[in-house]
Formats: sequence, structure tokens, C-alpha cells
Amino acid sequence: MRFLIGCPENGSIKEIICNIETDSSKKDSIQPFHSENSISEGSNNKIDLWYSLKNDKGKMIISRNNGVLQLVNRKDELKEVEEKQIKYNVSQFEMLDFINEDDLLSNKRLEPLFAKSKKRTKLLDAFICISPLNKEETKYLIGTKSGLIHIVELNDTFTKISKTISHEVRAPLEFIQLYDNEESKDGDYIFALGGEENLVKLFKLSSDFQTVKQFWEAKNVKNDRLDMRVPVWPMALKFLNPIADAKEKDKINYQFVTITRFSHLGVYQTQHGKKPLHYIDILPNRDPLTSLEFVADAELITPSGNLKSSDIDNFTFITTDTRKDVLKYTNKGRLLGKYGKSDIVGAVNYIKNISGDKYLIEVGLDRYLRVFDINSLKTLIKVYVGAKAHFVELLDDEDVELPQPISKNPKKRSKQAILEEAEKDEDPEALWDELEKGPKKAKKSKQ
Amino acid sequence: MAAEEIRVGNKMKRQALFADLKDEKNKERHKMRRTRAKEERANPELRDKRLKENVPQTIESMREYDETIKEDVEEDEDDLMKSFNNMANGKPPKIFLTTNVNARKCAYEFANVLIEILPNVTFVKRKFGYKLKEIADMCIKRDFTDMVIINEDKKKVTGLTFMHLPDGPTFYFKLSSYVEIQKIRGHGKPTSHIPELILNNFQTRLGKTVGKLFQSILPQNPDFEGRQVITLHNQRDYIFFRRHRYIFKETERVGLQELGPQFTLKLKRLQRGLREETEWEHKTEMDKDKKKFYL
Repeated sequence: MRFLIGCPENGSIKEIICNIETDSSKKDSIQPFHSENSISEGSNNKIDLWYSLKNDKGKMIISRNNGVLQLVNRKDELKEVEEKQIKYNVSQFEMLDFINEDDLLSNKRLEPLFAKSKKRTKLLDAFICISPLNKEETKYLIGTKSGLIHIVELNDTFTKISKTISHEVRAPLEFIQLYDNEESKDGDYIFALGGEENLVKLFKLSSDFQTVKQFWEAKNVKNDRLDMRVPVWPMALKFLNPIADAKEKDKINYQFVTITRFSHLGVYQTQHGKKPLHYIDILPNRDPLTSLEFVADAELITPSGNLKSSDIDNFTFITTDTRKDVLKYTNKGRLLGKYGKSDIVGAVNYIKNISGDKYLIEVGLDRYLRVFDINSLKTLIKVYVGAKAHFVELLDDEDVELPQPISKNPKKRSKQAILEEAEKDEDPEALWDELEKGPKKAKKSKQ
Repeated sequence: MAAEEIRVGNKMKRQALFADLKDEKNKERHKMRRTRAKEERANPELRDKRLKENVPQTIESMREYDETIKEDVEEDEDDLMKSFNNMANGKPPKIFLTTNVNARKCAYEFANVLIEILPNVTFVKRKFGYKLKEIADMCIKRDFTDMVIINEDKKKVTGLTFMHLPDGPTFYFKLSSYVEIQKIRGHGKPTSHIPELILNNFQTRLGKTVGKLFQSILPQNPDFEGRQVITLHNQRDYIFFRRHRYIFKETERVGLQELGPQFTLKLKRLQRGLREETEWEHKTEMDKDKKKFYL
């Protein structure tokens, strides 16, 4: 398996190649074959996230914390390790183009918001979303924490990158989620956003990218039993398909699920109203939840991670908290299991389910990359990355071919197998001749 | 006759026999040691050989494999300088010291001790009604580089919180076995010289981060003429703080005088930023495995 990992500590992408059952924390277990840093630019230019193009494999759009968007070409190069008799592809990166404009990120917009924020550490602007807008993958929606939405364009040969237009929405943002379950009839793009004291809003981006318009905003839930206002801080959102047989045809029809920093699971139906259909407390003590991933068959998950199902009463999701847990829940908020139980020691920065219901990859502050079996919750891979990681991509899920291992203990082979092997080796004609000669005379023992 | 072979019904006699046996054995052992020492004095190679062959197995030597021990730190220098103060960037640490709200006398006494140890430190009495974020904001505006909070509970100092400003990280240590200077026998009086710093046995990636904290927060460029030294020795995840004055008695022997105080720290939590996401947290189930160490 090949992984690309974004390491903020040295602003690089690290490639790790390993097989299933790799565990670098055990001396006698399989160790990763390859681990190398590339395009390192220092901690001040750390990589927030990237998008790998599906059409032109190898091209990547990388966003850096210093407000630079880079278009990079990743080539595969065959590497042979003679000692181990293995071959695998490693990545070589080549910079094609970049955008370095001052207005891509804006820390100024976040300064007044930090004063009101519950976060103690100063808010710094960062990219939070790179989503392709068309099938040709030439137009992208790029969002920032400070509420800037940029439309970025690639040329037809995917060698140049340029910014088309920027829009501003209400900050701060924790997520921008593109609705890609179905194409809208008028060619507009729908996306949802939200953040600290910034209720979930649905926006429409016109097909010519000139206008961004809010067309729906959620309402906060009722005050709690002590008549205290419930704080608003959605952390992640994922769409489901709209209701199939909507009663009110003229009302907008979207369904989505959010998780909040106060450990709520919010299930929304725009047909139902602006308040959530369900608002469930997931964790005790209102511990923060940070990410959201659906668990379903691969064909039911869209590229943006939305669920292609309209059944809002039947879904499973995975979420993480700021301590160390990766948790799997049902739509009713019933805990189905924990990934990596006591193994994970630091907060998880990023999770992604691969192939729908096969693998869950996880990286975080404890400097490990882990791969879990989504259904059995087992840890399949554990590799020490060497640096805190906050973004990861699986390039290839095939194991590196190893030379046939020679059995360490030949004595352990079954007797049957040994007899069969001996039979094969012997010439049957010679054996018959031997038998026809008759039994040898036994030597008489001297008395 | 071996001890197991003593089969005498009378307890008094049995005890006497056993004592004789033990005495004999001890004498034998001492004799063997004397002769061995004599031989080894004549031929020091024998001693080296014996020590090489008979290495005792300790919990430390049997510690569980940790792949982070031999790995190099992957952060670039830039980041280390950003996270921690370093004399190389010309910015000595400026430390803000305070206690928890409603602290008792012992916290202030401990603060007095810390003022002597930490450089460029300002103690401010904690007032009720200020949130941590507000305190941090005020400190950042006044160019403080670190914040140290003494935690007191039930008239005992129980913890120390170190926060690097403005972006963290935050370390929380449990503090135990505090021995005041006055209670140390034969203690000396520290002088105002900047002491040297010995960081011992911080091996893992987490250990190196903790070592870096002390390296950055404690004074650098020591006055060697003061012959004072602060030691932070990590053993089985407990960090022992000691302060000594040394003297070279001859070319090989060194005399030590303890200056005090003594206390022990144990890392409980490391968080990103100013108490944001947890980077590492001690859990009670971690203590189950006696041979696994994290620092």
C-alpha cells in the first residue's frame, strides 16, 4: 500500500510504502519498505490539504499554509531493493505552476473573530476545502477558514493554475461541503458551510461562478432544560440524497448530517424545517467531535464523502474527538465500537474511509499512520510517520510483492507431505525393479 | 549442610544452626570478594572482563522496543525555534509565574523556590475572574514567552503546568516528593550564578520534546565559576529535579553538595496549543505494562 501523508512539522509530503500487517512498533513484525519526505518547505509553509486529479493521474493541487496553491506533477519511478528482492513505485514530484496571491488567505478577517472565539490559541487562516466542480476537473472550489471562497481553474493540459474569482461568506468556517449526490438542473453548484457561532448555511454558486447566494440557513435548537442557549459550532457536515417522495414540491429538498464541537449529532431535513430533525448528545461532558465519515458500500459514497441514500433513519458514521478516540455510531447515536482502542494516544487529525466499507485510514498528533478494517475494527497497519500528520491519501491499496518466504522450520511439515514429495522424486520404474528383486536376505547375527 | 537440610525439631537449636550456617556462608563470600579484589587490583583487566560478562538485567535494560528512540527528530530547526525559546534567536525566555485560584501558602512558598530557579521570571498573584485565554492574551501582549502555573490542592503543591506562548504546546506534570531546601541534610546555599543544566535519559520522541521544554525554559549560558548544576534525570518516566554544587577534589574525584530543593515530576498530559487537542495523555492502563516507558 502506498500512502502520501501531509506533515506540518516540516511542510512536506511523506510517502510511505508498506504491506498489510505492518507494525513498526514491534521489532519482529513487518516493517515499512519505504519512507521519504518530498517537497519540504519548512513549518511556516505547511501543507493543509491537497486534491489528486482522477482524470490526469499524478497531477495534484496542493494548498499551503502560507497562502500558496501549487500545481504539482507526481511521477512514479520504479525502485528495486536488491537485498530484499522487491520492487515498488516511488513518487517524484515536479512543480508545474503556483498561485501566490496575498488574498488567498486572510488572517485579518479572523482577528476580530478570535476575540469572541472559545479557542485559546490564536486562529490562523487555512485552506479547508478543495473540491472539483466539473467532471473534466478543470474548475475547483477552494475554501478557507476566514470565509473566502476562491474559484480556481486549470488549463486543458493541466499545466497551469489560475484564480478566476473570489467570494466572501460569513466566517469563521470549519468546513465547506460540496453537494455532489446529483447534478442540479440549472447547472448551479450547491454547498454547505458552518463554523463557530456560524449556523449551517446552504449556498448556491452560479454556473458561471459570478455569484454566491445563501438560500437556506439552519435555526438553533431550543434552549436546554435550564433555559440556557445551546452553543453553535458545527464541525463537519455530510449530505444524503434528498427525500424521494417529497410532500411539498415547492420547498427545497436536502438532507444532511452534522456533528458539532459540543458532541451533538444533528440530522437535518430542509422539508422538515430549519431546526434539526434529531439533535442527539453523542458523548458525555460535551467533548468536542471533529470529523465525520459515512460507512457504506463504495458505490454509495460520493467523491466528496456524501451518502447516496435518502434513508435518514439508517446510516452508520465514524467520528473523532480531540482526545484520542475514533468512534463508530449508528444514526441513533448508539456506539458500535472504537477503533484503535488504547493504541492511539494523541488526537486524531484526519480520517478517511477508503473503498466505502473496507479500510479506514487515520493520522494524528501521535505521529502514527494507522489503517483499520472498517467492519471488524481491527488494526491492519501501524506505521511511525516521524512527524505529526494532518492529511493522508491512499495511492495504491495493493501490497508489495514479496519473494516466496522459505519455511523457517522444515521439520514442521506434515508426514503426509514429506511422503508425497518423496514419491514424486523417485522414479516409479526403478521402484518396481527394486520390488521385483524380492526381499534381501536378512543378515544373520553372530552369536 | 544446606539450609534445607536442617531437620531439627527444636526451634531454638534450628535457628542457631541456621545462623551458624549463614555466618559461614557470609564469611566465605567476603573472603572470595577480598581475594577477587586483590586479584583485580593486580590485574585490572580481570575486573573489566567480569563487569562486561555480568551485566545485571534491570527493568530499563528490558524496556519494551520503541521505534522512536533511535529516530532523528524530523522537525526542522525553524520549527524548534518557533516552538521553544532558544538563545540562538536572541530571545531569552521571559516567564510568567502564577498559581491556581485561591492558592494556599505552600503554593507561594513553592513559587519563591521557582523564582530562584527560573530565569527572568515575574510572579503575579492569581486573581479570581480571569479566564486562561485572557491571562494568555495579556502575557502575549507583554512579550512573555512562557507561562508556568503552580497547581495546589489540599495545602500541597500537586502539579506544574508549562505553557509556551503564543502557540503552545502545554505540558502538565504531576509534582510529588517535594523536599524543601531546609530539610536536606548538609545543604548548601545557592549563589546567583546561572547553573549548568544536565538533562538525562530523555530518549523517545516524546521524551525529547519534554527535554526541549526544560532546555528552553531553564537558563542557558551558565556561569561555570559558580559550579552549580541543575539535573533533570528521567527514570521510568519520572523526572527527578536536583540542584548541586560540585568541586573537583582531584583529577578523577568530584565532590557534590546538594543545594535543593528536590522534587519529582511526572508527565500527565501534553496538549497542542494552549490546552487544545491532546497530543499525549497518561492513562492508568499504561501502568499495567511495567517495561513500557514513554519518555
